[in-house]
Amino acid sequence: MQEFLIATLTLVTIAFVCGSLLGFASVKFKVEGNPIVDQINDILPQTQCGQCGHPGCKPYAEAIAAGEAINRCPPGGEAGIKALAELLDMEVVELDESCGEESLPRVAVIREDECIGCTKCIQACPVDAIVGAAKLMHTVIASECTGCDLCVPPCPVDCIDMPIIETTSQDWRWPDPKTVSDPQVIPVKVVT
Amino acid sequence: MTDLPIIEKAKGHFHGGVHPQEFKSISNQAEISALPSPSNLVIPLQQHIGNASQPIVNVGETVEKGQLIASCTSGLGANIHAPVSGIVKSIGPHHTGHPSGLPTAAIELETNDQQNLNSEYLPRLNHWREETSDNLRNCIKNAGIVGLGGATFPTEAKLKTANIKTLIVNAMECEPYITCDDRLLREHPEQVIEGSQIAAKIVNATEIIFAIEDNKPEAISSLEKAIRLIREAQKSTIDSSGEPKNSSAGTEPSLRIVIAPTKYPSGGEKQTIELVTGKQVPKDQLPASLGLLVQNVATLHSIYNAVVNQKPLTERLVTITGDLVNKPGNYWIPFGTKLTHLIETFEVDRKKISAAILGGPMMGQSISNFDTPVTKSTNCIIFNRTQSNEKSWVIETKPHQACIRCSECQQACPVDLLPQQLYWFSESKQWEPLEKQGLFDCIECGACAYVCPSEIPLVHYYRFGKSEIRKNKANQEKAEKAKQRFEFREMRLARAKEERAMKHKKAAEERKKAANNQQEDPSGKQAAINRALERVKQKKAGLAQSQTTQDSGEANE
Repeated sequence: MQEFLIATLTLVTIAFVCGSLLGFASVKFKVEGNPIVDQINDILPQTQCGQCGHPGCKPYAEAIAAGEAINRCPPGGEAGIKALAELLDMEVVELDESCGEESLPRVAVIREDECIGCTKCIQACPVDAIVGAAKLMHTVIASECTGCDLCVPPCPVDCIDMPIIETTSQDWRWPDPKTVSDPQVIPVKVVT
Repeated sequence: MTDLPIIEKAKGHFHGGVHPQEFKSISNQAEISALPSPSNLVIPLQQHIGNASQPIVNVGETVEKGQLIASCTSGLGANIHAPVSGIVKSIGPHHTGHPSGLPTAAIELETNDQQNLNSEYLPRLNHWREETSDNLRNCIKNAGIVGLGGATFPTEAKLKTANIKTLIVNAMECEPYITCDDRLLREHPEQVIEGSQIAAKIVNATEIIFAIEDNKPEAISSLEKAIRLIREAQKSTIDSSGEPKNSSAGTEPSLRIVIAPTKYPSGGEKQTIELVTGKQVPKDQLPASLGLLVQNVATLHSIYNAVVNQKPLTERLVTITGDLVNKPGNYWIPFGTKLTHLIETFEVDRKKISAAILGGPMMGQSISNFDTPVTKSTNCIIFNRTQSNEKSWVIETKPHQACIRCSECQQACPVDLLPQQLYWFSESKQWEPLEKQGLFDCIECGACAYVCPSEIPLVHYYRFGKSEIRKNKANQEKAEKAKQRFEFREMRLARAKEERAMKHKKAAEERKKAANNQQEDPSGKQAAINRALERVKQKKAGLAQSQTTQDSGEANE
């Protein structure tokens, strides 16, 4: 009988200690928010363009975590869908065309002599990349612009262009050797 | 100190390497000479690692030979001086031989007939032995000197490293065809040595080692002769004064030559160090972590020219070679000289070439637009037939075969990487494992592609991988910044909303409070009205009373 009691007590004690440890850990190491949302958000391109139908990348990340389709981000493009599919262990699907087409990176440019200083684009910019004040000319900080297009519709005088960013010798990249017919023939071969 | 042997054999060796046919005798027979200067030059503003220089001349301005025309304003960079006297014709995008074929910013000069007007281009210094390190470094910076071995890293920045014990002079020149360092050492060993002594003084190095391959016996013997003369001179000053004085002779760094067996790429900085010292530079560290500084022969010669002759870097020794060249050899060529000018001067048959090689055949670049100018990095130009029946280096593109995992490339890699693994990962665009395989340790020497039996353009695959990984990193950084800015904006908008709500709430509360106060306050308006009403009431009541008494009186009468 005594042995039975000792065994029971021991087990109860162990259960209690482990239980309180777990309880303490769940309070102490509580994760704020859903960690998968942050991981999804890290993959999204952060253009904050809203083409997916959400007001920014974070809300879309939350929607994906809640089960929305992963193919609604045109700026992320194919590579983005691939990365998301890998993260979430899903099938790679084609980009949803109702959201828009994948395009080369763009930057907003204000035709400054036409700007009337209405501040509407400043309010529309999701990353605060336009500077200016009421009745004074506005301009875009090109390095901060994500090319999201959101400043274009509010402009009452249509003075914002969205040109594709041109490649310069500084940001030029070596092409995929498989896609070029004439790769750099260095080192040159000895031909006998 | 002086009893040490002048010539030593290399202690170490490095993994891999290849033995391509050398073709050096084509160009190393003739003496160094100069060319008539071209009438039109295009001088790129970026001929070095770092930021592009900013032009400080205007279109139409007349510049003198050696005049500063573009300066380094911030960060890493190098000055650029006019290689000839002439008129600035234009400043803007020009074809400068960038691998992309895209135009880059350059200054176009048209030569006038007054050359060599100004003989002293840089401010005059005292003799370098009496100058401070800072002044000497400044002089090198002003002269626009960069590493002329091909990497074009600004020399002044490299000479800032502290705790240097040994200066290694890289005279390996391991690539086929190139002979400019070889010729320079044969003809002007004492100038190169003086340049190395200046560099050694700047970094307080105690020994100078000339590292050279054993396929340049003439250069070795002329170097040895020059070093012997210096040692004898030092000895005689010591002998005459009894013991070494605290000045020059006693503190002079020792000079030695280390000879390495000929093997490509022994001229790579880390390979040279491994050959000379037997030690490997740790990953992600600079040679300075071993107390070493490596400088190229041509760089040291330009240091000599800047410090002793006050000459800025406006020209360099270039090997002009190849089977189509009339009188191949080494020539002083001003920066900005176009290949078209050289094709004319050396009577190259344009029908037989579709491309020239800028640099060596292993690491250089094939150039088919002959408007490309000579820059600070151009050490060699090869004009070879496009196709040939004789055994020689030719330019020929062929579709490559599949990788057969023969591991020849692994045995050739001087950095001990696994080139076939790098190829597979780059080919299938798996950037993460590609980086983990050590892609960024690859020096792009081309040894792997040279031995590849399938003739895969391996180096191109590595460059592709490197630039894709760099792009992804830049995009990630940009996305991170955009995310922060977006979140800050959300926070700012939320705060503004909250503040507005607070303000409204506060205003509403104040109104309510005021209303309450008015009701409670006895000295308030309402109270005054109430009092007035009270008074009226009382008056009315008094009036009514008197009337009733009158009425009753009347009634009594």
